[in-house]
Amino acid sequence: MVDFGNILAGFQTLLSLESIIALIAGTVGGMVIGALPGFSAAMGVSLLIPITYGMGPVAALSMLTAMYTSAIYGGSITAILCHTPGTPASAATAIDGFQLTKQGRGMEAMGVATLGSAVGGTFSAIAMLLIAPALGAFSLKFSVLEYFFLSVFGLTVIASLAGDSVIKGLFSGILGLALGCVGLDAISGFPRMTMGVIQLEDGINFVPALIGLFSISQVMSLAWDVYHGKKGSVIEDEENLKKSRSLPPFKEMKTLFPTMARCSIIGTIVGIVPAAGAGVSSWICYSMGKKFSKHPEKFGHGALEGVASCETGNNAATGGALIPLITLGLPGSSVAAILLGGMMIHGLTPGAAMFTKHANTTYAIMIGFLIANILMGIVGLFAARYIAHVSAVPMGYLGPVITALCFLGTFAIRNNLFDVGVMVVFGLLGFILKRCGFAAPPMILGMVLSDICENNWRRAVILANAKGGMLSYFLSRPISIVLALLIVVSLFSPMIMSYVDKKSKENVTK
Amino acid sequence: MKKLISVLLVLAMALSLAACGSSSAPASSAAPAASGDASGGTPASKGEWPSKAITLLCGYSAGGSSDLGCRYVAEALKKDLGVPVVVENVPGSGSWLAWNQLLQNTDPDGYTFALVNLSAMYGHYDETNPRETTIDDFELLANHVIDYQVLAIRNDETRFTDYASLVEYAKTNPLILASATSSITSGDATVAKMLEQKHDSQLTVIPVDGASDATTMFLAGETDILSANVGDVMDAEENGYHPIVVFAPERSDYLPDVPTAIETGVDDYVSFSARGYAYMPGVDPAIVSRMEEALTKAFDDPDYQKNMAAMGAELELYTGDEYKQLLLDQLDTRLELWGVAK
Amino acid sequence: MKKQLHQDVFIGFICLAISLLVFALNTNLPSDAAMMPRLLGGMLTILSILIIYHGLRKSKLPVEEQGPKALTVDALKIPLITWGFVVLYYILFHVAGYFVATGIMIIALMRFMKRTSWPVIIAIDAVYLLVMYFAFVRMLNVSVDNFGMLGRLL
Repeated sequence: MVDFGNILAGFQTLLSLESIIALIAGTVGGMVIGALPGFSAAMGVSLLIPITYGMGPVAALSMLTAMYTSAIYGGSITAILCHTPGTPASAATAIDGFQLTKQGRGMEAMGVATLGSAVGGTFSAIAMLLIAPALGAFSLKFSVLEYFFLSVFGLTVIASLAGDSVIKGLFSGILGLALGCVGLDAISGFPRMTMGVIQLEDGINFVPALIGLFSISQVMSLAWDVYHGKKGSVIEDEENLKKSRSLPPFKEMKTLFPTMARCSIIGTIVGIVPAAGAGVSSWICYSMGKKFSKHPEKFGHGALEGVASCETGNNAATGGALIPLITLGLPGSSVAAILLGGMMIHGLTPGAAMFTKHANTTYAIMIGFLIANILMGIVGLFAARYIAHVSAVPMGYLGPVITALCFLGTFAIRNNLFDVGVMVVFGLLGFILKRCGFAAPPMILGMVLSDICENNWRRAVILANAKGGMLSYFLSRPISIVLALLIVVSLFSPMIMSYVDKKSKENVTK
Repeated sequence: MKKLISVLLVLAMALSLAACGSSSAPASSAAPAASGDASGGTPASKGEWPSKAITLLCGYSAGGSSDLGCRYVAEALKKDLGVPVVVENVPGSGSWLAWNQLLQNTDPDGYTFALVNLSAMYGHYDETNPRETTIDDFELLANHVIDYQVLAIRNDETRFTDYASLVEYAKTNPLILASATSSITSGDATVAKMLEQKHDSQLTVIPVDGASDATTMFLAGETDILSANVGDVMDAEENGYHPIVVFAPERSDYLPDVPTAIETGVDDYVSFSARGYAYMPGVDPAIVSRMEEALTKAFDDPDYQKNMAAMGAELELYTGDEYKQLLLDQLDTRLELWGVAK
Repeated sequence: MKKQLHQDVFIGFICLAISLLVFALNTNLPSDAAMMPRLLGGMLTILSILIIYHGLRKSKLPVEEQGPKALTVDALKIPLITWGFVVLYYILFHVAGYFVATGIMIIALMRFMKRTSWPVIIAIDAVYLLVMYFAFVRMLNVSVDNFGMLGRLL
């Protein structure tokens, strides 16, 4: 299965000046775009596509895939330093990352995020290089019922993100699901809750909503801090920054390795599944990280493990999403869908041809992606020291610039002022939610997963009825059965764990 | 001061990205350049049209086949008109955001036009979400692409082997088919309706989000047949399936071995998606005819033809009244199949 | 001791209103399209009632144990004014285009957030606008350079 001859030939194809420059530009550019609040990986990739028209296919796709993975990483930078995720996939990182920054450990958090992202991305790149066709065939086994169970599994994560009040967290999540229903119903075509507004027919675009919920509301909170005597920047003592470590001490790093390994695998698999991308992967991995952690109570209050799990997970998903894209022409995530267009423009039709007719090009691109991930890790570790100073910039300067970036980035998604309006409204909503004790992450998760969950269930019902009923259909699909069991275990594991704990304590005292 | 430096550092990185992008390698013969610098014809002097860049609104996102077609035609138009033609993507609501922007928010000065397809016409008759706009609200310029619909089956399919046997089988055995959207605006859903009505086929239609989802389900074995367009099935053989019939008046150049429905004798159904260009009403007739002329010249441009052929897009030029008639013929067929009054 | 209604009660009623709104907006839909919104509306209603219930229970506690008050004028005034700036920025964007609007907003908001050094403000504003113009309008053809509604009147 592993064709080293092809890999070598691909590597040689990659060694052209144009491709190398494109790769570096994509990696560095991606980090910048990812970091800037308001600019997402999707936006970066789709705006870059026309620029690649003049390039050869290897250079173009190396640049685009490099941008994809480093933008997903770059989002963690501002998520950690300013609680404004640069891309939707880093929203989970903001939870623990920002807490760490406030504790003066922002640079360590960034180091962990960098390492995690590089590890996750590299793992998925290697998986792609070695077993892409097999994994592609695996992705075909996922159909509507599996997507449904996967999204339900994602939803079970909501309870663990709720923060202090589980009821309010659930309300937030379910409200998010309801907001996700706004728009034309995918199955019947009827407008739901659109109130006649045509821009709502495709639903509330969740990227502007997320930018509003996290970034705009953060600017509002920053304003309050400015007027109530806080020093003027996120961290009080800039001198400490100079003495900060880039990475946590090795003993602590060692504890993070199992998390990174776990989330690399989970992230790659979630990425492979079409419809779930870096964002969903980061939430699932965050929740998995919490479940497997020895100190779950730290999550939400500055756990390095929290940062490690979601950043590893979201970058692993980028490579994962590329696998079905290349092998089957099936994008594994929304950004991968944009990359599909990029491939077509350069005459690369995905499918079996990629490994026969275009084998050199394909392997060159995959190796380029691998190198981009490693490069991103190296650049990130070096630059962290300097970038961390952003947290020392007075909020009075940072806030307005963040706002300006958010407006531009949101507009550029669809050339649509309505999206900017959505962002503004969600900014207020995010601020009020936080004040009233409702957590924002469940709402975002609900919005993202709502369509996937509902539409695929209804499609599964139609399909199953045509094939003899839901029960027999369900029982004929092993992946669905496994996912359903996982959901049950996940929901009941706290109870099972405490029961097991109690029993073992009783045994000890006997 | 340090803080200022760090902010500037970030901005400088953005600047370096900008610089990197602008130094990308010059165009190879197959791909068009991104932004315009006038080449070829001389721009008209001030007062004459066109004297500045023209905007082409595309209601689909960058990288899709509609977007690509727009970029290729923009490149070709530049040669004749002498000014840059810039594609602006305004995706949403199945291209309706772009059409609304054209019809309601743009001045009829001839500097903005849009990609139109048959959805602009069918939207008015969609029962779940009817649009006020009809095809008469557009000033049609020219049609470039006709993409005929096909039906495909997997290579290892044993229950039927061609269109005739498929239709026969479907009379007594239920089949499953996926379709993006499920109303009169969808070509796939209409094919299913046609099969049900004319051949008593027992079909279950699963609504999916797009052509690639339909193909996935088909490849995975969840659906039995695939309804798609010629442009979608160019690489079918390599992926283990093949088209069995094309709903066109004549065989497609890209699929020379695939019979038309008419040839098989089963029925005479013709169905296609058409991609063309239009202005909003009220543009100076002199400008309209100049633009039509430019679109006709662009159609004949050899680079344009080569680019479109690589995409599998079949080129057929229609202008003026013929264009409108082309669309209205399809409208009648659809309305009849769906039982909607005009 | 005067019993004060915990703010959660008030919040809970707003939640209830939202839940009913979800129901109301979905009345005239066919049953399969309405299933999910109605299910969600139902769950939201139950949760709202729980929030009200817990709020009432918290009201019975002495004021010190009730936790920080979040919805006070002091907590809300500055952020809401900031949001007002954001809304004005949006309107300005509509009317005069991105660059004019941003140019003005950066100066105004930085001043509001207590920055006093004019050279720094102007420098950041100018560099930002230049970089964004160059990157987005020139290179990427994003149409933020039109002057909005105002431009069409000129």
